[in-house]
Amino acid sequence: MAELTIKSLKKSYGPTQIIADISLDIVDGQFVALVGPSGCGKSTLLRMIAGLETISGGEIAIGTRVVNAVPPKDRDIAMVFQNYALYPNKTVADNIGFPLYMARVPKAERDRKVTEVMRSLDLDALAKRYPKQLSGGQRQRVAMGRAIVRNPQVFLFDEPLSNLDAKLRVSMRAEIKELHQRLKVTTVYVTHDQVEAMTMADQIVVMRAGHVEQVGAPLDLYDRPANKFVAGFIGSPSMNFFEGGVMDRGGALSFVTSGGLTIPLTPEHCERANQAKTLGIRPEHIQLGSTETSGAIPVEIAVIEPTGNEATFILRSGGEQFVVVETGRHSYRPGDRVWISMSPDMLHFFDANERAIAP
Amino acid sequence: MNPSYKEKIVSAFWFIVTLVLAAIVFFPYYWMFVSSVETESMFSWPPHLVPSGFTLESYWTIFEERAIGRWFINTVIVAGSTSLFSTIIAINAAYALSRFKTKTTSVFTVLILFSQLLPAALIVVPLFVIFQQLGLYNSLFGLAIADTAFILPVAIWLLKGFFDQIPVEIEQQAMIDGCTQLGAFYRVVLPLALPGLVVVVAMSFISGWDEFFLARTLIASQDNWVLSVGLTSFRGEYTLDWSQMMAAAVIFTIPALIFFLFVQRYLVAGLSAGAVKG
Repeated sequence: MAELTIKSLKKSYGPTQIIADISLDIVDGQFVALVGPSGCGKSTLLRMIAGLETISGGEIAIGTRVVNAVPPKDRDIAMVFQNYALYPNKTVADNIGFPLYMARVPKAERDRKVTEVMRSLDLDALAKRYPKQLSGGQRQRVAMGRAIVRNPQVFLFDEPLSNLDAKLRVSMRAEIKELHQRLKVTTVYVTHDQVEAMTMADQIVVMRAGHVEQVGAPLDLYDRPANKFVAGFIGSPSMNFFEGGVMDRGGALSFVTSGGLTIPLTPEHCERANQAKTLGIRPEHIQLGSTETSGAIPVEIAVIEPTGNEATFILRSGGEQFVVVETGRHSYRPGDRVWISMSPDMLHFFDANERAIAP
Repeated sequence: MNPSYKEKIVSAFWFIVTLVLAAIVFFPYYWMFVSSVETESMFSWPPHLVPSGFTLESYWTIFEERAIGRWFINTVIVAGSTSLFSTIIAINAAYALSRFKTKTTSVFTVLILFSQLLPAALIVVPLFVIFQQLGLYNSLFGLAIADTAFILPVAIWLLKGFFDQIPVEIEQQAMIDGCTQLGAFYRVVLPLALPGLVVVVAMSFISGWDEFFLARTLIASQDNWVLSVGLTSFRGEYTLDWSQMMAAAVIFTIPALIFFLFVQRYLVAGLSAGAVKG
């Protein structure tokens, strides 16, 4: 186990810059998720840590050792690929034992470790099978077994769950998290799925176009996004954004959107709201009501998407369309006219550069 | 009609079709063998489908009067070397073209295929001159090089197809698990491409085995003849000894046949590999 330090890391292919000056400190034993839309450079960053991509500039250190020029095999890392990359011509046991075989671990000890790992991952019955005889989830576990058997300094995961169906993904998510809690090995986990990142990671690194947008604990990112991109990326459904500006009508402060919606503000908002060009609020922070209350905004229900425990409403008012999530049962129908109110504490303000305006 | 009865008729029909096709394919081999052991002339009428007698005299004769043993060994040397050279070169070239994709390598990949457009007859004269200058004329080694040059493009393309199918992640995984890039190639990629490798070994061996045109042009002395050239020597200006020629043809065919039987399992897997993905 070791900390992972990345200093001013750069990567470019010819004139195309993939990673632009990234610095990260990953504490020993931490589970860090790299998230971002496709093409943001998260996989490239992971592959640079693994040594599968060369470095155009900067430094990567595992523990105290700078590994810039160290080949993958000598970095003491383990990686799980999206397609598992199992050796098709080797059995489950041989797949798991391969890193030990390459490290010239004596056979007796190798067998003991492989058996131990297979038992811990519930694979003992499959030892003699070949990868093509396994289900997706089993393959995933073999890939994980091969990673943990060598007891590496760092685990690297490259979207390991994206090839699994939704149900299996949720259970494997828990398995990986449990594995990390048990082994406490520094882990870097790449995913484009923010739910995966939120549920598994100690720290999330949100990336966009080769830059780090924000680093923080999952709930920090949720509560205090640094900018509009992070605000929109973290949380599902995405945060609602309204373009517009602040108006003061006889002491009553409000945010008037370009679509004609008037969102009442409190005097505490005054300082922040003044420079705001965009107002954001998460769907779960808007309350729906069938009767008018003070400060409530009248809207029309366009679409209702029930999911059982909660329902997602797509609402319309003037030129604005936005999303609200309500838990519990309701009796609304599309076309109904309802009133919404927004919790004043839950409003986010963003300036002209899309940066969040802190309270 | 009863469906099982109908099924039986259909399968019987296909059985007969297969049998007829097999008979058409195998008849020349049968005829070749029969002619080589027949005691009478094979051109008697009606033709003897079953030999009227059995003698190995033609075989003894060709071994005594002709250097057929020598030619056989020469052919093994040429075919074996062709197979060895082209497999080794194709493995490396195909891997490079499959894994290091740049503009230059893509152009090169296509260029290799273009070289197949040139017929041997077009190249053989310059080849003759070059080989003479390099001292490769009339040498078995030289002939193997020429044969290799002709089979190599196909071998490279074939193997490249196999390497393309092997996910690069498996190789990278091997590099993380403790292999160098070269080690990952030899330990992980090559075993996975084994069916393709067998196809290339077999194909290049056979092409070296039965090649005639280059062998006729680049080899001068009878001592260095290969079987394909030797076979033509049975056709004299005025005489043609069919049974001796057929005996030589049998000797020419048998090793290739045995070789195919050995690699057949891989060959079928290899040639149809594009359809399945591990």
